[in-house]
Formats: sequence, C-alpha cells, structure tokens
Amino acid sequence: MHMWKLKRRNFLKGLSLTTAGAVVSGKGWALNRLEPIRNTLSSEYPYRSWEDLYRSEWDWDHIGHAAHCINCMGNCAWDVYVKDGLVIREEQIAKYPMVNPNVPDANPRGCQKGAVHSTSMYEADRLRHPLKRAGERGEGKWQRISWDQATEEIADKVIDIFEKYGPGKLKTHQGSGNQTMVRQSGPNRFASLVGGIQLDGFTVVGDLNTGAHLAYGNPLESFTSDAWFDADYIMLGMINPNATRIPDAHYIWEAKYNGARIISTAPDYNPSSIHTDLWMPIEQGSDPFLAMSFVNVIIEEKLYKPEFMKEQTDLPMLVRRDNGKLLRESDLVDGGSDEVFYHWDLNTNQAVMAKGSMGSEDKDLKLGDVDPALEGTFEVNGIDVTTVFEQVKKEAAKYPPEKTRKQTGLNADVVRNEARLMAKSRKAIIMLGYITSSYSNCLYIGWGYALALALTGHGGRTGGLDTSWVVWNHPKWTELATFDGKKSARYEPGGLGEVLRGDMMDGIRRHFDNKKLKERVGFDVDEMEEMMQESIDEGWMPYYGEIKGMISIADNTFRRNKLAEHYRDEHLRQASELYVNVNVRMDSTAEWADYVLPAASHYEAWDLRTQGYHRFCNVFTESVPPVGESKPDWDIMALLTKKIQERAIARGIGPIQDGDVTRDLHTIHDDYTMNGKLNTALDACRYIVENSPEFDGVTFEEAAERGFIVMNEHAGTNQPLQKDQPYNPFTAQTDGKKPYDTLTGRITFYVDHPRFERLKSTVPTARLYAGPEASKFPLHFYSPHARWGIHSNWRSNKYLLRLQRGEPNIYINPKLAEQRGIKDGDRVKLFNDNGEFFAQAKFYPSIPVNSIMMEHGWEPHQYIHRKPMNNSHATLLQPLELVGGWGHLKFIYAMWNANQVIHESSYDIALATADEISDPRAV
Amino acid sequence: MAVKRQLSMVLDLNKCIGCQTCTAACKLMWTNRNGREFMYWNNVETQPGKGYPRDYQNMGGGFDENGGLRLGRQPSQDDYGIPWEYNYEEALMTGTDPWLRPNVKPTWGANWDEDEGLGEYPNSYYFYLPRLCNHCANPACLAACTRNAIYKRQEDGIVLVDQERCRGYRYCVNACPYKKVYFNEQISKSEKCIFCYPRIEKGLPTACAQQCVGRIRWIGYRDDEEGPIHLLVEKYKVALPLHPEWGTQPNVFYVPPMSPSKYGPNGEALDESRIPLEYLESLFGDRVGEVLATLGAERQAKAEGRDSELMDTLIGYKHAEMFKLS
Repeated sequence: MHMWKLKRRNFLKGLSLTTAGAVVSGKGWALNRLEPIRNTLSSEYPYRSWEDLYRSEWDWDHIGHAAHCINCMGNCAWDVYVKDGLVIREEQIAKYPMVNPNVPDANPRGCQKGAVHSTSMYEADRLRHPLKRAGERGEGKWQRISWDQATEEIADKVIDIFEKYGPGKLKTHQGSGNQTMVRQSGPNRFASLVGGIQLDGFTVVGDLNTGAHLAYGNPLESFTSDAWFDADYIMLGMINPNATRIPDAHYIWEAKYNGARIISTAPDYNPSSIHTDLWMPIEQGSDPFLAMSFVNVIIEEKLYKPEFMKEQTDLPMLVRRDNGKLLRESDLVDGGSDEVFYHWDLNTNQAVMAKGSMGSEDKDLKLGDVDPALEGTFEVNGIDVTTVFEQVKKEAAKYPPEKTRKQTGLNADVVRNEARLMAKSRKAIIMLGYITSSYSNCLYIGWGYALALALTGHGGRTGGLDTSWVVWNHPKWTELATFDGKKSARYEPGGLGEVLRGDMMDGIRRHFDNKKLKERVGFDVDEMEEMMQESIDEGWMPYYGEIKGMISIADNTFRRNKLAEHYRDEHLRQASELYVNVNVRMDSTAEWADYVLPAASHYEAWDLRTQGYHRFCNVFTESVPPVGESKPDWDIMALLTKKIQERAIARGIGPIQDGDVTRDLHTIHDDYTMNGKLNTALDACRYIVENSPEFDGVTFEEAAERGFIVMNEHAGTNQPLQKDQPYNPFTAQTDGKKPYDTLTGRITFYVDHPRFERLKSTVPTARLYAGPEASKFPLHFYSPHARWGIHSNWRSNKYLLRLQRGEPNIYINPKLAEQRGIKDGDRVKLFNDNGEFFAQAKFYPSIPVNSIMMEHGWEPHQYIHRKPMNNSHATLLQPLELVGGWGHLKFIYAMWNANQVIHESSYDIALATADEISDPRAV
Repeated sequence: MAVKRQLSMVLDLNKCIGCQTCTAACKLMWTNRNGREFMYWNNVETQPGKGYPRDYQNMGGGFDENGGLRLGRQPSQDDYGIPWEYNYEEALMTGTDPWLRPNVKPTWGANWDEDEGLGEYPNSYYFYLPRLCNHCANPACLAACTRNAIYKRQEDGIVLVDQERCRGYRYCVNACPYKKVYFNEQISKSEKCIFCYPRIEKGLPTACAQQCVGRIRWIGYRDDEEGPIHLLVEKYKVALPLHPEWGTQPNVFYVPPMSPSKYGPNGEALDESRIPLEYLESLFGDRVGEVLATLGAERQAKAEGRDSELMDTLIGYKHAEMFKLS
C-alpha cells in the first residue's frame, strides 16, 4: 500500500511542466537542454528550478503524535505525518527536555521498527473488518461480518459458557502487545468484570527477574537509562542493548566517553560487545558461576564494605546452627512473630531484634547504636547461632575463578581483575536483560550478582542491578484496569499456567535426560512436576484448570509458547465453545480463531504510555481514524459488554455468584463504562490524564499538543521521581532507610524455606542450565530477543525483512558449517526429539562453534511448512520460583512466580534436502 | 574550496549501534517509491564485509594519483539486492499459499552480511559503517557526467543530479567509488542522496541524522570554526574520510572504532585491540592510530575527573546542538 507513490505519469508531467517553463523563458533547448554549462563544481548552476521536485515530496497535511504500544520498553515519542488521510511516515518528536545539564538528553528516542510502522499499518495482513471463520479452525477461510453480528454471537457464547459451566472457564488473557494505559485497561477491566483468567505477563514469556525479587523484594525497581550515564562501571551481564534497547543504548556509550569501564558477558561477540572495553566470552548458561566467582574474589580479597552490608542486607541476621533456620522471635518468645529476626550487637554483646522486617513494627533500617556482627558464632538463649554472612562465605568459598573456569570458560585472571574493578568502582551497574529470566538458573544469576553488588556497597546512587524495567506509580490507571479492585480477574502464574494448560510435560520429559538434568540444574523432571503440584496443593500458586472459551487479546500465544503446536491443539480442544482473537493483524494466533476482531493500531487511537526507561508519558493522538472498520481495544470491549448486557437481560440472566463476588453480565456494560462515562478510548484517555497527579496537572489539550508529558515526583513508586535527577533504584532504602519489601526488610541472601533447603539454595549459589549435556543433541541453542522485531511484531514487515535475509535465519559459526557441509545462505534443518524446523544459515564467526543462535519471534507462518522453532523447544520451570508462604516469596503478579524458560533445549543441524523444503505453490 | 560553503557530517563509529534507524528514516523519506525501492541512499553495513552494493570497494571509480578518473563498473541488480515482495494476502488472508515468503529467493540485500565480520572465535571482530553520499569536494560522479547534469550547490556544497538534465547515461554510477549514485530504471535517470536539502533549507538536519538514536551524527559547515565539524575534523582531528585514496575528497567523516581487547591462547586478555590497525588504516588512512590514541587519552582524562572538550562533544549532551545549520 503506497498511496503516496507518485505515479510515473504524474512524475513525468511534473517534469514537462518545468521544461515548458524553460521554453517560455526563451531557452530553445527545451527537450534536451544540452546547452553548454560552465564548471558545475565551482560556479553557480543555472538551472535549479527542478529542485522543487524533491521539495514537493516532503509534504503533509497534518502531524499527530504516537508511541508504539507493543511489548517494548522503548516507548518513544513520534510525530506522525499524515497526507490525504494516510500516514506517510513518522519521525521522532525529539523534544524531551533536558533533565539535568550534566546528563545527555533523551532525544531522539526510537528505532528502525518504529520508523517503518506506517508501512505495517497498511500491509495486507492488517485486519480491517470483523471476521468469522468459514472453514475449520486454522484453515484460513474467512467471512467478513458486521460488528453487530460478531459481538452478538460472541456475547451469546460468553453467556452460554457461564450458563453451562459456571464462572472461571473463560480465559481472557491479554498479552504483552497492549502496554499502553487505555489499550491495556479496556481488556483488563473486562477480565476483572467476568473473572477471566489472566496469566502473569512476565512469566508467560520468561521475563521476570526472580533473583532481583528474591534479593530486593521488587524486580521492577530499576534505573532510568539516563542514570547509567554517571556510572563508572557497567557490566552488560545478560543484555545486548545495541540490538534490544536501541533508544537507550546511547547512554552506555556516552558513559564510556564519560570515563566508565564497560564490559559485556555473552556467549557471542554481540552487537553491544563490540563497543565494550572487554567482552567475556562466557559459556552459555554458566552465568551464576561467574557471579559467584565475583563474590568469591570480593570476600577472599576483602573488597567488601561492612557498613552497607550491616545496614542494607540480611548478612548480619542470625541463623541457628542446629537447624539452619533464621533465628526468629518465635524461637525465643512464646507467641513471638516468625517474621522478626535478630542480629548480634557488638556494642552490647547480645542478640538484638532487627528493625524493619515484615513482622517488625519499626519500619526503619537505621542501626542507631547497634553495631551488628557480620561474622562469628554466638549463643542466644542456649541456641547456637551464626550469621548469614558466615553461611554465604562458606558457599562462596567453593567458587574461586580458577575453579569456575571449567563452567564459564573464562580465564581466572580476567575474572579476578573484573571483580576488583567492579568492587572499587564508585557506581557499578550490572545489567540483566530479559534473556536472564529465560534460563532455568535465572534466580541464581540475579541473586548472585545482587550479592556481589551488595557486598561492595553498590545500591541506590552507587549502582545496583538493572532489571530492564521501571514501573511508575499510576493509581488511576490501576483502578481503571482492575475495576477499583472490587472484582478481580483470575490472575495466574505465567509459566505454570502455560505448562499445565498447554500440556507440556510429555514434551519436556521427551527432551531432557533426567539424571544429567539434575546434575546440571539441580532437579529432574519428576521432581519438578512434584514440586509444581506441591506449590498448587500448598496454595502457594493458583491454577485454574481447563477452560471452555478463550478471548485472546494482543497475545501471540500460539507463537510464543514452547512445544507450540501441541500447546495450540490443547488450547483449541479446551476452548471448544469459543475462541475470539482481538488483534491488529493476522498473526499466527489470530489465524486459528472462530472470530477475529480488528483492533486499531498505534496511530489510530487515543492513548498514553509511560512504562519504559524514562520519565516521559507519551501521548497517542489518533493521527488517523482506525484503518478499515478496526476499533480501539477500549471501544471493542465497550461494544462487547454492551451486547453481553443486552443479551443477558434478554435471556433473563441475573447475578452469578463467583466466590465472594457476583458476575453481573446484565450490568456489565454499565460497569465497564462507569455508567456511560467512559465509552471510548478518548474518554478513557482524558479521564486518566485529568485524574493522575503524576501528570502534574497538565491539561489534556496541552498533552495532546506536545505529544508527551513530563511526569513529576508522584510517578516514583519506591521514592519520588526527582525533577532534575535521573532515577536510581532503592534510594528510599539507601538514603531514606526505608525497609525493602522483603521478609527481613533487607536485601535478602538467606532463605530458609523448605524448598530452598531441599534444593540446597538457602544462600546464593550456582547451577548450570540444561543444554546439550542434559539431552541427546550436541548443539547449544539460544534465541535472544530480536533486533528486527519486538517479539513477532514487525517480523513480517517487508522493509525490515529486506534488511535481513528475507526469511527466518539461524546464526552459525563457519567452522561448524564447514564440518556439516553448509554454506552461507543454505537452508538447514534444526532438529531434536520434539521436532524440526528449517531456516536459512547465516555465518557468524562470533558465536562458539558448538552453538546455534536464532533470534526469537519469527511467526510460525514465516517458516517453511509453518514449522516454527518453538515446536521443538521444551521448557522447564524453576521450582524455587514456585515457592510461597515465605514473606515476599508468594504469588505476586509481575513480581514472583515461575518463568517459562526458553533456552534449555538443544539441537542438531543438517543441510535441508530439497524434498524437505519443497515449496508447493498452493496448499 | 570550490563552493562558497560546504555542509559536512561526522559519524562516530564508536556510538553506531547498527540499528538501521537512519536507513529506515531515509527509506521512508525518499526511496520507498518511484523506482527507488532498491536504493538505500543511506545504508549501514557491517565491516569487514562486502557492504552495499555487494563488493563496492572493488568496483573501481574515483580518481588515480594524477587526478584522472579511474574506470569503475556499475553494480548489477543482484549486487544491490532485489526488493522482494511477500504473499501476505495469499498466505494469511485467503488460505491459498502454504506460508509467508518472499517472491524471489533472497540472495543479497543491503544488510546481508550483518554482524559477520572476520576473525575466529573468540577473536572475531566487526563494526558498523553507515554510509551516505559523501558530497565530495571533488566528486567523481560530477567529473564523469558528460551532460554536466551533476553540480555542487554553491551555498552548501550538496551534490545533486539535475533530474531534468540527466538522461541516464550512468557514467556517474560507474565513477562514484562509493557507489552512492543509483540508476532509476523506471524513469531512466540517476538519483542519489540529496543531503535532505528540502529539510536543510528549513533549518532541519537530514532525516538520517535527526532520527539517529545512537546520536552518532553531527552536521555543520566546514568553515564554521565554532561548529562541531571543525572541532572534530580540524581541531582534534579525530574524524577521517572513508578511503581518502579514492581522491574524491569526501565531506563525510568518521571517528574510527575502538575495540575490546583480543584474547591469547589461554584466554588471557591481551593489550591489543581486536580490530587490526592495518585494516582500519586501509579504510580511513594512516592517521587511525593517532586518532585512537587521542580518544584513549581524552577518555582517561574524563575517568580521572579532568575536563575534555573532545569527550563532551562526542557525548553530545544536547541532541539539537549536534547540528549547526547556520
């Protein structure tokens, strides 16, 4: 769709007009104009009127504003150029104000994907009308129907499900594709009203930094990217920001010019490693061993900072030597709290209650006159005790760099040197991207690095863990999305829900060798399954079982889940009554729906977005009306609830009891719209702007005019967002002495939960990932986030594909390719015991010889025979991440539950035969 | 200087992240239509590599030591890469094609050898090289045009192909050693990067520079002693032209890339950059070592808390101030 394209005829007409002008002006060379021209290099060229040609191509009718709402932490303000009712291009607004004169400004945020969205929105896979399946599910036959028919039929099905099966049988999961305030809150409000199942958006895709939650009690408290600039040590621990944090990456390289040391640890010499001072070529999945070696060196060489450890961490907490449990008030006092703990005061030589724990009334970390011991053994009321730090030391002693070289492959001197530099730095940041959470040892990675940072006093203004997300404080948005908390969706742990409902256990069992798996990751598949069940039985993690219907919103669930085809079949079997897909384009999940409802895209609906690495709320101004008959998600849900309400009344359906609440289908539209107050995305957008103090009283009109809002101090969740300072995490704790949201109120390095004891993980330690050694296949495989898409979004954009290989490709070391007779550009087969897929081989000398890499996110329908990578990917769940009943370790949406991990499976590779990839013209 | 004033661009390869936002920006600004679809007036290529168009560095063109035009050749369509299309409708909306795929077998494209580079693990190396028309002081395209249809604008030195006068002889395509002039078959004329002169005339930087999220591009006039170009090219001498030996005197300059240390046989970090100096010299001339030393020293100054005008400039605190267009 290139409506802006100049037709050749018009183009030539334009030329002949100017030529005619030349004739009139008396120059007789009209046709060829071959009159002699003097030196065109150094004298004025006489015939420049033609230059209007290109000037006329830079033209538009009006400019709107938008960001891109997909699950990308970029969140960048764009101008949207509209000509003849169509978006012709976009360009960053690039007018964010400077926050502090000593810190580079944030302009111009954006990336190549945002820069071509105006082409995707008109592509032929864009959904323009409500569609109803006209053949079998997935057959690709569609009938165009009206909104009225679609919503009426869906409404009746929804009511049928409630009537036939009761509440709780409808999965209304909204995926990560809707990250904006209005778009997200519509479907979420709907889910709250119907009690639909909503899985944890982080853990469904393996994005939750569980080690950070374990340590700090909050995985979503992190740095704004401008706070990287004044660091003098940055480790790109498991992140490739040049490819996946494109709008923010500049702060790292500016920090480098500002004098910072930048290092990267990654199996491949990736696009970010190339700009570092040192790239550490770490063995895939061995990162906890590197973290523990840092800890080892810091302790052994006494590079730690006792002051920070005593106040900010649980390292001085007392541990019973008889049973390894933390010493609790309940151990010493009848009826005492089991959430109050002790440290040993060196000034008074006695155990003293530590302030600030969950059970403590004194919510303060200030030590006052107490000088807690970090080391030693003591006796309290006849109980032998020692400190957490003693336990940590004992474990850390096992990991000198000379010893962990076996796992990490890294030279010990290199590791020692880095540990020293990190320890001595003024502000050290260790960045862990979302790839961290896609490994079974995620928890150990974050926990180990958190320990290395805490030992060396890096917290708050002096650095810490960067977890790739800052969550801002938006009470009004939350109220809107959750129906004021009066009724709730059925929130469910992501990884657990996907594995169970997707019936993945057989595929998992098929791939991993139980004995070897246990040696590497610390548990086998049977134990994992048993512990999953225990977590459900103990009430640590909820699971809502089989479904009857599914309304899937902004979620490419059949692409992203592991053992994908089986997962899909299982969901389609369960959702026998109804499967509705709300989407902007025909993705690999929409293709299987009974009904597809077309949603408005980024430039077509009013909206707001703040989540990201910065303090700006970007405003979406509906630059053009929704394409075709598509509608904003908010409006779609308004329309759907309207029909449900009408049909419920017509069918005589009253309140339906669902636990403590009723599901009121007969008033659902009134409830959804606040009795007619919020009927459209524009209404909801205005409502949020006008009722959110963090937006600093800006008027809706001002916000829309500028395209962004600068948030004020109220936006900070953990501490105020200061007007002129980049946001460093946990300064409320380091400066203000507010307790962390952890059981002990401190950065946590000791967990005496029975499962942590069982898996020998009471203190930070190291485990490997599964990999080839735990399977029958020789090649490591990893699928990092994509440079060329945000998951599957924009993966099929032709302008972007033309800058890649045009089809799914894997990265292979030329040496391995040579061994297997593979040339660059060949189609290869990747296979294991769960299946196979085909892709183009791309040479990449920067990857280890025994590894294959493939960016994730390709649509199943882009693969030869539609066989995606995920068919043959088996996942694991980390049982520790399913623990509950221990202070901050309990099911918390987006904070604590198990990730569906991604990189554990292994493969073999062969050149694809012509038969295998034969390409029939038609099905 | 042959022109009254000369616009110029400096690109810092130490900040280029290879994201291709510039490429996308330029594509939608100028080349997604009208027979220009295969062209990338701005491209970003991985080096060492064949680049875009494929193997352009070995296609000849430019000038010899005596200032004579060297023979060059015109790249084939395959060298540029054919802008393939997709069967969205058939594969996704009507169920008639089995899967979504390009309509030609892709064999080359503008970013085909992305991240490939050279060397053996773990000592492989590569970096990104964004390229646009160099708006040379001595353009080979201009010298080769037999119709005198290529000229330098006196007020800003932008090199343009007169779209009325051009008759598509393609001598310019052959003569440009950077292969930054393209032949538009649809209109039988040659076209190239116009340094976004319609934007420049309104006081705005080029789309590639304005939209560069790595903040690697500075634009200004060569003669502006207060401007960033003078500071980087003349004062600190850290920005170098690509292939100066081709004799066209580019007005686009690059800060050459530093690189992390190389590893020895026992995994020990060596005191040696992984990109060989000789290789960088083959691209940017014999001053590369000097430039890298300057960058190292100035960076050290910042690390020690001393001032560095050079580092502050390369940091580029204010995006808008990276461009000085008056």
